[in-house]
Amino acid sequence: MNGLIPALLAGNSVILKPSPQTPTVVEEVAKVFEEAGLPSGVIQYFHSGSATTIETIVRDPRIALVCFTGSVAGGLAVQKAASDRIVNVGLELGGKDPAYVRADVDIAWAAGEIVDGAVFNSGQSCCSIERVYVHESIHDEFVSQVQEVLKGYVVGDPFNKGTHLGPVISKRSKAAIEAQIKDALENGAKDETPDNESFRNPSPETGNWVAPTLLTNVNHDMIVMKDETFGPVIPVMKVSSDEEAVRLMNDSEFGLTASIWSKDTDRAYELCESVEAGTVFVNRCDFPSPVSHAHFRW
Amino acid sequence: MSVETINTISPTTNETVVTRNGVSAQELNLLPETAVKAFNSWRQTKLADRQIIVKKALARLEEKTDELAEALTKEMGRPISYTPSEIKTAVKRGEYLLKISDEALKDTDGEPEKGFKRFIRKVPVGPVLIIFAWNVSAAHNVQSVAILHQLKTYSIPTLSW
Repeated sequence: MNGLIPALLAGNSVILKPSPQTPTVVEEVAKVFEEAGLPSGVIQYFHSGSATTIETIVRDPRIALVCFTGSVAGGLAVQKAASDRIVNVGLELGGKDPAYVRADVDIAWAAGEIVDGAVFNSGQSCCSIERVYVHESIHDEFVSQVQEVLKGYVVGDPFNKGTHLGPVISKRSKAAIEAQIKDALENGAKDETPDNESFRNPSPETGNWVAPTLLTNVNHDMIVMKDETFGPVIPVMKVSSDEEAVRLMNDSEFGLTASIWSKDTDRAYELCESVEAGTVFVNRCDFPSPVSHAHFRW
Repeated sequence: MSVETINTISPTTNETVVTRNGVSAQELNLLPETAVKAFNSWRQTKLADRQIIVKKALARLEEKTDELAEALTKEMGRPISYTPSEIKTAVKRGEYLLKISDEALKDTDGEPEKGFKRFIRKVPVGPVLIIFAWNVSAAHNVQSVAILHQLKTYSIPTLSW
């Protein structure tokens, strides 16, 4: 929407290329615009799973601007394909979004919000929380509140209305998330995920299940604190000061969003200035739209 | 050259739920050609007329919320309790962008100087290619609002013809 609508309003024509995973929505979007009277050819779309095809069209001199949302590898490929001509390229890529919980926060409330921000859509959102830094004075209480929240979550069939987390997108994705968890555990992290029947036995058995996983005793030598996880993993690390928190938040090659949780909003705003991210939230995480329901991020 | 077959695998069942043909080489080449032709007439329409079409399309999209939500849940496994909100949010975002379009696309005055009229106009760039990931299939992240116009500077001497 953020690309398509302004492009059309400004008077551009648009070619859409959806992911092979979700071919239907783009077809319907093209249809509603046609029904609304958009002249033929102003919106077109094509399906492809081929990197060569994408490269061919990105290189086409008739394309005046390229917007790409997806992985860092995919974005770099698009940028490279566009690099031998003068064309604007807009990329929105991955994130390793940190949350910093200060000592003065309402712990139970923050735990609820942060779990939601970390595991929504099974953590498969570029702006999901991927790292949590908690002041040492409230660390244990925070972990225990996160456990309480997770006890109430349900993993399972996405068509069931009571489900909070569906499967992750592919078997390959499941394997990659599990590899990060394994690496962390082998290097001293502790799995503090609470017992939950739906985490142990999600159904149907055919799904690519990854239960929410709460890790403590993590550090920046672990992959789970450095690389994008894109899964429902909540690694929690102790910090002893604002300065340490900011340093760790900035110790990342990504910089999409970040969040600071504190009752002292003036101090939180000050800290925002030092955090290297395109969007820094105070007392919330990624809610792109100010609408009535909490679950609006992707 | 054989056409690629694209199978969408459900993450819940690991079975194919949707099959589409990939674009052929000829079709791929035709896309920019059609886009250029369409651009050349679309760019000449008035913003007010474009706004009417966008508004209608958004309303129609909202009517299809349940149908589209079901498709998203089927194709990407996002729970059905959240996918209708994704469609509604996409519509809401579209409505916001529509609301600010007059302001965002209006001319910007240049430095005043006697004998000149100067302004900056936002004009379309041409065919735009938008490639997006499965997890942003309906909406799109708020911070990636792309600049989808270019600036054209006008400096016109005021002549007394």
